[in-house]
Amino acid sequence: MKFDKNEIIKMVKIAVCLLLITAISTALVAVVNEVTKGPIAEQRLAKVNEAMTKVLPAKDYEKLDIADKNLEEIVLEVYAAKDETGNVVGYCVKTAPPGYGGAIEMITGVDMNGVVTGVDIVNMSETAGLGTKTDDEEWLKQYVGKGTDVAVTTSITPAENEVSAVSGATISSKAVTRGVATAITAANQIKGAA
Amino acid sequence: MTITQILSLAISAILIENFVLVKFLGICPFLGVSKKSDTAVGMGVAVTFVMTVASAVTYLVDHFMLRPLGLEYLQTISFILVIAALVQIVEMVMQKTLPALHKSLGIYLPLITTNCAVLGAALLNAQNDYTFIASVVYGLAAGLGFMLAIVLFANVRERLEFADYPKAFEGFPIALVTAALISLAFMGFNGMKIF
Amino acid sequence: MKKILKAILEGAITNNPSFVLLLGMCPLLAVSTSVPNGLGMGIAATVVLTCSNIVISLLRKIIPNEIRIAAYIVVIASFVTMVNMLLEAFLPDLHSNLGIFIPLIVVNCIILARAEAYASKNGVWDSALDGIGIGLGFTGALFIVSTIREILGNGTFCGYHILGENFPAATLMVLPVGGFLTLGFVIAFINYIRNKKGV
Repeated sequence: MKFDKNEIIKMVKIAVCLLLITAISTALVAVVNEVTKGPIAEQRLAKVNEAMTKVLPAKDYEKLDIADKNLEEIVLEVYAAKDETGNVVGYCVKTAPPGYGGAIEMITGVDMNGVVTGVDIVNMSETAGLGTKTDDEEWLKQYVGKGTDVAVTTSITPAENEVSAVSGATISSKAVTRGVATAITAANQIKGAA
Repeated sequence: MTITQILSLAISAILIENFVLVKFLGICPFLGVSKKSDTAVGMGVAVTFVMTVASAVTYLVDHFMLRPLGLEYLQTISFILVIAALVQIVEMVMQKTLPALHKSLGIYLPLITTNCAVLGAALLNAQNDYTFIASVVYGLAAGLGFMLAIVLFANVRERLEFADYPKAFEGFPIALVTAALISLAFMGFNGMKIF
Repeated sequence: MKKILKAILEGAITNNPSFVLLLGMCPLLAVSTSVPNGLGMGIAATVVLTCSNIVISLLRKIIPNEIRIAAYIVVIASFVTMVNMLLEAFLPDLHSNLGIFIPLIVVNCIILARAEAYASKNGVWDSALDGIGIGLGFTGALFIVSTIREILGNGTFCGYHILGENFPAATLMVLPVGGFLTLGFVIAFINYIRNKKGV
């Protein structure tokens, strides 16, 4: 292929022009990134901390390394909750059990006796109006005080270890329960290892 | 990732979380290029092809350029540029090597750059931290899901020509109502799981 | 003043992007499940549209014709990224509700279409007004669709139970089906009025 001189100049001009536009835009984006980086990190941390304070109030939360702990696959993160003197008072376990419309991201607080102190749902994509009813504080309160034998029932008179399912959303209820049970097992495993 | 997980990801992208009918990605071409079933097939093939390649390329860009440099916040900008460039390259290569195919798909290719399903797949891959293989499978499956939806939809729309409906519904409104019914049918796949 | 109002109204009503030009359907259907989400999306898109219209109009004589689309995409993508970061930093709840649809403003056909059809041919001031007008039109459309869907699907408006706690909500309306259905009926209604007026 042959190019005459004018064409080459034109091509270079176009390339330089696009390069300049891209460079300037990227520089501006980088500036905004610098400005918002702090607040974004704070927001993310605050969100996790807020959820953990809800399920298991403590002074400080330390993220544990769970890579070699051989925990169940749906366990995402484990935090050790510590009081003022640095004693571990329990664990916050983030699990993602598969529900009706994808994974339900939730945090379960477990105390040193392996008993649930609270459950909070962080993120879910369950059917609006049915499965999403599991993200209700009153409903989630049922889990408080339950142990590894926690189970779901559709009966109106749940036994000691049972929670009553949200009507019309048995799969979502079962998923949340599986998340809670897995969290207790994980907390017990970590406690045993420590 | 195991084979079952990959398979489950693919089934979910095609049926359960169909890009068009459940996730609302790629609605413009879905409504715009679905008046005839053969053009719908053409658009579907073109989108599937670009989505698969784009998922692979954006994975590489993300993991070998942006992440090592800590520039994740440039994902949107770089992905859309990669897709735009990719569409151009595909078009040029196709024109040279497969002129027949280019003739039938050519007019759809430029439209794909602004198809939010393609950028959507790339962004979802990055967001969900899929592996390379999972990203490619996800892109392919999402494209197939798009094709399934648009071909079904075009076939229904062809029959609508002989249907009798209120004048106010002519054109877009009746198409949207049709899409609603197809979307309702796809809800039946919800909750289906392969373990 | 009258001229400004006319320019904005033209964008918002006569050239309404969602109901008349039929552009940008994806976000309109996807985020219209509740009124705050719909309004948030509309405002974010309006900001991006206005800024990109201004910049593209400023650069319209500098950008070579051959690369104009690429240049527009870069400009739009930059603004979208900035809006995305600002939202995550200062309105995190809205950010997590809108999710992937914020970065996807980049491929919202409305914005690229206005850059190509209007901002690249008109002055800065007119382009800015066009951006605001079209953006408001899009926001208005989102408001209408999300109001219908939230009230019928959830019995609430902006989260308040305006029809009483026991309103038998049709969950279907906040599911994807409801999005298609609502938009179809709204456009049909507009067509009906236009047909009647003989426009």
